[in-house]
Amino acid sequence: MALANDRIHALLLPVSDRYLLVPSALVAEIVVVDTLAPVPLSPPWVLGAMAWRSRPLALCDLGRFWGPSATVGPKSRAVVFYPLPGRSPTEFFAVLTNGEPQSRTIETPSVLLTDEDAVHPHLAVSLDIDGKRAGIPDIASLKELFYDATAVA
Amino acid sequence: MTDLRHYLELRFAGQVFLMPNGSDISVEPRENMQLEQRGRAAALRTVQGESWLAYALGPDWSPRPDAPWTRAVFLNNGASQPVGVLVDDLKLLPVGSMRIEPFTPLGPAPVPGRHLFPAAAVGGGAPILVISPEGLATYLRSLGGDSGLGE
Repeated sequence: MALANDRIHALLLPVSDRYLLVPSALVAEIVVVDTLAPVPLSPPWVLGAMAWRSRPLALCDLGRFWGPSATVGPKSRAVVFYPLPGRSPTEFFAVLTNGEPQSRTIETPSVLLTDEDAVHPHLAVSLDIDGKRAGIPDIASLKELFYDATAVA
Repeated sequence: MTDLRHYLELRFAGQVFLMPNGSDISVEPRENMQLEQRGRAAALRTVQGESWLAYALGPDWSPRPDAPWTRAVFLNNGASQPVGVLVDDLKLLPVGSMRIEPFTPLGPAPVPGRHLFPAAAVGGGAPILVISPEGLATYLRSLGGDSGLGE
């Protein structure tokens, strides 16, 4: 099955045993993982808080939802995302990757949707990109995961 | 105009945190505390016949009654009885000496309706999380069974 004809500038983020395909426009910066502060009483997918451009932000291991949990190593990168739609302009967050993300211009007719892993949490769809298993994150699902609607600031 | 507000720098369980200082916070040295474990509390202070419980926390903030400490920091906010956290060390830092930025912890709030770290100090290295006194008090009370959390 092919997507509608379109070109998207995207990044392939190596996360756990697959890739996340995200539009480049969602990503503010890719940085080396620096010192993390533990955030007690957080879920296990929150690795800690890091400083980025004089802002504190949470670093997440999203890969643990689809495969083995990650550890920070010399090749790890923190991909800093712009705040999700509807959130405060200060609410940047970061996702840990196993290595340097790869830039891609996706010609959508060449991207195959796969049925594999269709039920994985927080993925809208699974793809085969040049033989690589990839998934597009489900932004609405991530918003639900990240933000407790009952919590006051 | 000089900003006279202060933050408390709290050290416990090998970690450092900040907390806004205010009139609803009181600090007691170890010698003023009764070293008597009650439930999961590690020590207590008796004030006018009431027991103010204080908890020693581990790195994951679970109660560790045997953890070392030198002072108790009591939170007197709200109508409930004061409750305390036991710390290894404590310093008073002027607000102007650091850059505090808002922080949004991700995931479910650890106590009903409230995250514990609404801000962090940023400078060199890792951020230092700022504790919400109300959130901390709610969490500590939950350890005593007040809300059924942390059981």
